[in-house]
Amino acid sequence: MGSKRAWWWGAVSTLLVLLLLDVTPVRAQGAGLSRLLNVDPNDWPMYHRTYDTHRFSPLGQINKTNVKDLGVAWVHQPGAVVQGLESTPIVVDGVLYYSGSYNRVFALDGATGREIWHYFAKLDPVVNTLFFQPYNRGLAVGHGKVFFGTLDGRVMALDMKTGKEAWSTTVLDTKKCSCNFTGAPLVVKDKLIIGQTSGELPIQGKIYALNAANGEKAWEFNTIKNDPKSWGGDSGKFGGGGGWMTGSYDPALNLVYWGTANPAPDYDWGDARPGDNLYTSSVLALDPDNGQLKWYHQEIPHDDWDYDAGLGESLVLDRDGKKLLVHQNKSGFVFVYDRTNGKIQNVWPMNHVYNWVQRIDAKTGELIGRNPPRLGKPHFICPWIAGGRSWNSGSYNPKTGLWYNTAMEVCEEVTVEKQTPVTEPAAGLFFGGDQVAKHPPGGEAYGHLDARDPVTGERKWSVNFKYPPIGSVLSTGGGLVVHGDVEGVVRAYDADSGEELWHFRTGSGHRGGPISYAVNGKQYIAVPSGLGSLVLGLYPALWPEVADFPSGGALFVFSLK
Amino acid sequence: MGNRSVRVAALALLLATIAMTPRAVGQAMRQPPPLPTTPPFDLSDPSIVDAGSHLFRQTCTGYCHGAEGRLSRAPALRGREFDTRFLFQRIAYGAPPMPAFQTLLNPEDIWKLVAYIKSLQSVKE
Repeated sequence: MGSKRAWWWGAVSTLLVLLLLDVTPVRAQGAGLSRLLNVDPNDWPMYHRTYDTHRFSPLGQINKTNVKDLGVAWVHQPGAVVQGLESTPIVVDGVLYYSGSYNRVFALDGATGREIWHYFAKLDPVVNTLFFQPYNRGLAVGHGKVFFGTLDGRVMALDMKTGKEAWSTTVLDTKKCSCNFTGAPLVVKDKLIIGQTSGELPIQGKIYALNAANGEKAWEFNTIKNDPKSWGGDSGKFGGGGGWMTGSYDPALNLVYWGTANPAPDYDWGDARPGDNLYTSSVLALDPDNGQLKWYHQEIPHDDWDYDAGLGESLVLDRDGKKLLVHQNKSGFVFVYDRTNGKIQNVWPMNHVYNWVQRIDAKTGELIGRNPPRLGKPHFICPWIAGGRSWNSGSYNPKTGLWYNTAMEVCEEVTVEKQTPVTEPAAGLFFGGDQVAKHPPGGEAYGHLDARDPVTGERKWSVNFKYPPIGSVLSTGGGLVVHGDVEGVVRAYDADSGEELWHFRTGSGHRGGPISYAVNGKQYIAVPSGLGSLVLGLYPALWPEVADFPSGGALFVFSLK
Repeated sequence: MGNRSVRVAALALLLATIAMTPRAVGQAMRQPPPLPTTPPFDLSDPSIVDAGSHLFRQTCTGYCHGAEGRLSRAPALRGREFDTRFLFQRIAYGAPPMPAFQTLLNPEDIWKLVAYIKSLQSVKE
């Protein structure tokens, strides 16, 4: 073969391999898919930063020694913040993308905060009638687009460079179902995966995949199994469920792991929904190509407490040759799985105070000694409906091997009440009772941030808070843990000892997700600040002063002075 | 005013009308329906108040209002005097972050909620 011909064949075959592997020059493609598989240390290109949902940034320019010199680089205010600034920003190639209330989306220069573009979704007025509104928790990027779900039931794509609308697909009949999208989507190969709200609604909640290129629906997974043994009578028609937060993905196994929400009604007066109520309050392993269920584990069979499993991260990590998945639901228990087949490896409690079960079998996941609220007198339950933890995420640092995670030690008094599901003219809330927050027996309610082994639950350090924290956690390669509290103080801790190394008062409490990224060799830490959310509505029963805590919302970005 | 001026003025009016139409339509879509001026039943009727308390537990408490109208993220409703029409209007149309209930509850049910909240007026905490 002549050298010229060999060069030509080499070039063609290289191009073909590049096309197959999707490693085309990244800047030409925006967030190329390889950028989602092999994340640049400078970037934070998806809700949990990486498919393994570690929320860990390897950047170490800001570290234990110099974090005391952290100062504000810039601040951005999204405006119109209602119910808190709940989102986690995304950063690709120095551009920061984030969302505020009412699906207001921004693209900012990550170094200066200068606005590149903004897009304010034109929302149907039905949004004002919904329970789950007007917050949004995040975006996804890929295929040169920015993706998000809307409060009025659409999934949208914007051009990453211009913010112009690329496509918009109406997925939900929000006027009828009162359901919508509040969580961030997940880009997996050529698809966009997103789940809907529905846990407190008399509807059937689903997880959807759309074609990322044009918004056409590819598949849907109904979290309400069509099985009369699992849903007695017609209860499945009103079964709730859904998967409102963002899952994780294992490219090697080609499995997406997605937590599902609680059944409706939240409380059972005795015969509200006979059966185990699959696939609510479960973890699903789905084939992202077709939505086929590969395995599942129902963490809370026949959930009597609204211990929703649809929240937070689903940690993908390997240890001692085992492929593990670590997942938590609102009960405060952490489930460790073999992620190849869903077999339980361990179950451990993140919370110190609980009475909803006596224990959970660490080998099988079986709930032992259930304590469900029932019709009649008020029932004292720990933890409360907001959960041992809410939907905010912890962070796993592979260097320390520790998971930095929050917990709420709060109880409640539940009064169960029979309720008829309302579906006309629109779905009405379907709780089947109500509850009021209570202090735990013999002490005050409180919260804590722990450093734990995610597999065994062994605790290395812990920091307590008067008001249970509801913000997500960031850990970094600089040995830092960053976390904001309800009172509006963001702190950096020593990842090894829990010692507080730095703090800054942002003026409003924290409900979103802090991130770290770098632009032109300089590391930044971005912290959404803005108190609000449905869960916060439960606090004043125990702490009346929280009703007057300032709301508002701003994105604070810090760098070394 | 000459013919040309009239034509220019008419054209300007037409353009202004066209420019304003989408917004006007948008605003019209958001116009609330007329308020019922009087409740269809006696708001102090114990059976109405009781029905309102059931609805309140099912729809209003938990994440928003406190149990039996106690303080929560939403304001306390116990021991407070509210104008009857204000209560109906606030429940029907909401005020962010409180949702509007006009499409979820029929006017009778909203009046039952009004009756229950009015019944809390004399409660001392």
